Amino acid sequence: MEKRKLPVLPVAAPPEGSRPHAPLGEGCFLGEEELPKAPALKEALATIKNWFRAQSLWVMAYGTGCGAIELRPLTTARFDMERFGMAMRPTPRQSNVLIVSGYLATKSLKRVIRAYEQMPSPKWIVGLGSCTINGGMYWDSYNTINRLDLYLPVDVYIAGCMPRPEALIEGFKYLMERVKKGEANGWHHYLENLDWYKANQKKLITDWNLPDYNW
Amino acid sequence: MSLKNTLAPFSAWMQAFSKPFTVPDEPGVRPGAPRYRGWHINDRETCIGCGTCAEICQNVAIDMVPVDEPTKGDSGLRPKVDYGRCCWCALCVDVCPSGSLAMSNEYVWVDHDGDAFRYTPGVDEKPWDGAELGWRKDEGFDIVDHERVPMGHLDPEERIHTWAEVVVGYTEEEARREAARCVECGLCVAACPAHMHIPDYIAAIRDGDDVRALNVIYDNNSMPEMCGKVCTRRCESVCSIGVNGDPLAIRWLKRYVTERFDDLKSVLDVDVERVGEGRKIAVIGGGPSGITVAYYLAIRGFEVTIHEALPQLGGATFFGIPKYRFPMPSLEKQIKLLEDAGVKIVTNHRVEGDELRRMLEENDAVFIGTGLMKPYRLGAEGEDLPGVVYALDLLRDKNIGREVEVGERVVVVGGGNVAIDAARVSRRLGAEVTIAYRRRIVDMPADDEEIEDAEAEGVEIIPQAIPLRVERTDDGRLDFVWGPAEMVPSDRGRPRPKLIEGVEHHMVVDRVIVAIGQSADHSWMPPDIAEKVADAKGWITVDHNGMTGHRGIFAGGDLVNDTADAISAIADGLRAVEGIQRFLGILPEREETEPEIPVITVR
Amino acid sequence: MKTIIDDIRARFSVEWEHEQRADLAQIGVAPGTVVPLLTWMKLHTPFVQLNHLSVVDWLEDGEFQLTYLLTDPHGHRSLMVCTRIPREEATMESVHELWPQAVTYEQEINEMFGIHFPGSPRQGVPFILEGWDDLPPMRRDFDTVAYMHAHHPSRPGREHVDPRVYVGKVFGERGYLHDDD
Repeated sequence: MEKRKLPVLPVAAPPEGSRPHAPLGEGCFLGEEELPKAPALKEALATIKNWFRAQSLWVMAYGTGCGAIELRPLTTARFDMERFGMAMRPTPRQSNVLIVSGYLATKSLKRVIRAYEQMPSPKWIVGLGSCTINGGMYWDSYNTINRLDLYLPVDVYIAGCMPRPEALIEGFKYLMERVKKGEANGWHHYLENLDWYKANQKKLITDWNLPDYNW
Repeated sequence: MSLKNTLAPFSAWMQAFSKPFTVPDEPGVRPGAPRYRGWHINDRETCIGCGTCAEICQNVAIDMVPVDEPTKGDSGLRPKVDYGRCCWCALCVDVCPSGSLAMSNEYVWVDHDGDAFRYTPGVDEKPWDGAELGWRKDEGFDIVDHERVPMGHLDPEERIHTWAEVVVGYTEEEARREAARCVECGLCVAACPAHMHIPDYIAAIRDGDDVRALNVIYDNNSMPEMCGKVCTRRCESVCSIGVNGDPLAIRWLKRYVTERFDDLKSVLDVDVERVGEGRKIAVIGGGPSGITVAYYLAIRGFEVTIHEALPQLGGATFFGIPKYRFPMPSLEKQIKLLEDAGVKIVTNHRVEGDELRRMLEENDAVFIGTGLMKPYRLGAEGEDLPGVVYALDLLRDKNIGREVEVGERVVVVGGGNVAIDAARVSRRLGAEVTIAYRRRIVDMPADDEEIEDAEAEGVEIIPQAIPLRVERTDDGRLDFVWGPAEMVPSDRGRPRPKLIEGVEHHMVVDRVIVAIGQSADHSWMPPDIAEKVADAKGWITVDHNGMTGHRGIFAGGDLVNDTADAISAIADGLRAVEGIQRFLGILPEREETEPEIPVITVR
Repeated sequence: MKTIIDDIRARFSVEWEHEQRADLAQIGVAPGTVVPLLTWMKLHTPFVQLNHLSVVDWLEDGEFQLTYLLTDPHGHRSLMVCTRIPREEATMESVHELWPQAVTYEQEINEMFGIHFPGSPRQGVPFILEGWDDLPPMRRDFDTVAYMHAHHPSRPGREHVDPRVYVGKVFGERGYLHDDD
């Protein structure tokens, strides 16, 4: 599995009184852990699983910013995302792709984190638009984050302000490629570096009242 | 329920055979509109690295990064765009003074690495390089103002009858308006030999703070009023606004500020340690370089004496430049500042014989800025006839107030500023004037504006004219004989004139004024010292401190540099100001280190 | 509009007036006049609807300007009642008893500008922000760029060279009227 380099960033200790998240370890679902031990078979199974996964990206229908306006055409006949096996789902429990569509207010970030954590693994995040990369035109705003990857693992970025639906389709095709190759494993990264992500999240979100899910 | 109603939904199956409405899943099937604003493209060669794009970007998406060697007219920096910030508004393209920046109509860019979305257009290769379509600046539209605030001139008909200044000068409102055009890129600083703080004083003028502007100007130029009137303004030749429009009127802005104050000493805020107390410096030659050395050393406590052969300081700016370009009161103001700073001025004193040796003993250092005073000879038959004169002599005699007479018809040989000055002075003395120049008008070293002004005043210019000989006519006038030349390519770069044999033109004139350049004259120095200071051809080379081959003798001005303009002389003077202090151990010896690149990282 | 302003002038002291359009005018009154004026207008004039309550931060003057936009729904015309209050410990009488919807405006203004409306029910309750612990962000003395640098890290690796400074350094720009520090 490809290891990603973590950005070096000073993070604050969790605020007083906040419960630590449930420890990782025995019983945690980490996907491939449960596969048979024989390496060749394991690999073959993983390839088949990844192929299936890539054919059924179900998108959480949640628009955080202005980029959500570019998502809607995808569901129409003109751009027709269903031909790629993609569909919009109304709840995180039924989705495995979360699109952060543009700027993300600190307040929305909290909801996005909660939605992401409720999504069943394997799951992927698509950062749509410049804002998710480095703040975009909201770079100096008091209430929007500049870098999404400090708080959630991003599998694919689609640059542009705003990216057109065609660019979105290219982004999803790229995501499918990476899923098939087993390279899109941001959800793994999230679990492995949960402490780091949580610390970043809690540093920004001062009134932390999210449940700690049992991983 | 009828059968029709039951079957109606199945009519949808007919759509299975119609042409699909869906956009096919093929890359590039829907290109951006011809004027779509997508990823940037930049012409690395046309770009001058002025950074105006980075300055205007509302999202701080553009960084200027060092790519090429900085040269005069190109900072060597190129814009690097962060697509984690860029919002495709194209302000950068619309403001770009050189017109190098544009946008392609490519808009798809996908990556899993968030750090990937940065590149330097035109430097980092991208698939959309050289895209034909995309956003370009609209024809005729510009955010920066390309039109200079016009400068008033005296009417040509009127000015040939007067010695009054030709240029009227900016009013306060005009100056502020002109200053507001500046984009503060600083390319001009590189081109100015003295590296004046040009964007800073223009900003001060724009802000209405003329006192600050004057202080910034005097920070490294002690004769700015002269520069404001007659400078060769290399700064304007590299001005980024000038790439596609009129360059900032930097010279006129400086002129505006310097003319506003009469008592300079009370306005200038000098804050230097008097490190030179008790040390003596002799300056030989009171031209711009000598005045610069004298002023900046005097305010540091040095005891400076200027020795000048003519009755007035100023060097070429006094005796060479006609008063309709640089009037006397302006020069006197400058000299008063020197006197106020405590400089001793000895005029009408030509240093000769062993005097230099004595000066070396009595002073801690000697600065020589004697300029080029010996005119080149014409090298044509009959040049010693009475009536063949040198332009420098004519200009000097006029400027120190002697009676000058040129007759009715004059030919000036040469194409530099001196030739133009001689022509315009002769015009004011009532003569019909013709300039004969060896090369084409575009090759003339004189300032374009000067050439235009001369032509407006009725001076005729004959290009590609090579003087053959001068003969005396029966009625006591001169017959100036010249032959036409054709331009042939030369291995030296610019084409050279070649005489067309067998054709001769005659022109009957009263004066032939020779203005084809000057050389140095070192006959006033003791030979053993002159040998160390200058080489066999009379050229003086100096080290990085401005010191000649003789210990303790510094030199500058036209003697040393080959550009022969006042601002280069001032730059030489500044170098000697530092050099003399280093020589005397007041400043530490300069270490040759790479300059630190001033980087801003918090973006 | 002139009639209504004349009517107001007959009863209250009006500092200034400005007729922007035939159907829109502004008047300026002292802070203490606002509530009596608005009460009178709601009861005795057609201007019965509070459309909006907004704030302008006049930082240099040390004042906030509050603007109450009143509308005559049948006559299709509006009157803006403006008042200026000191910026320091800014407090203003609440109008929520005249118009219940004013509670929301006052809550938002309280959060974004830090103006206190005593008696208004949801003062101090977060409206848009969550866990905010800095200056109210819509105040003009709130430095949004500094806040961004402190709380929302940007992607590292950006390096900008200012051409003006760079050219000066490379070509040896120096000054001679002042000693270097």
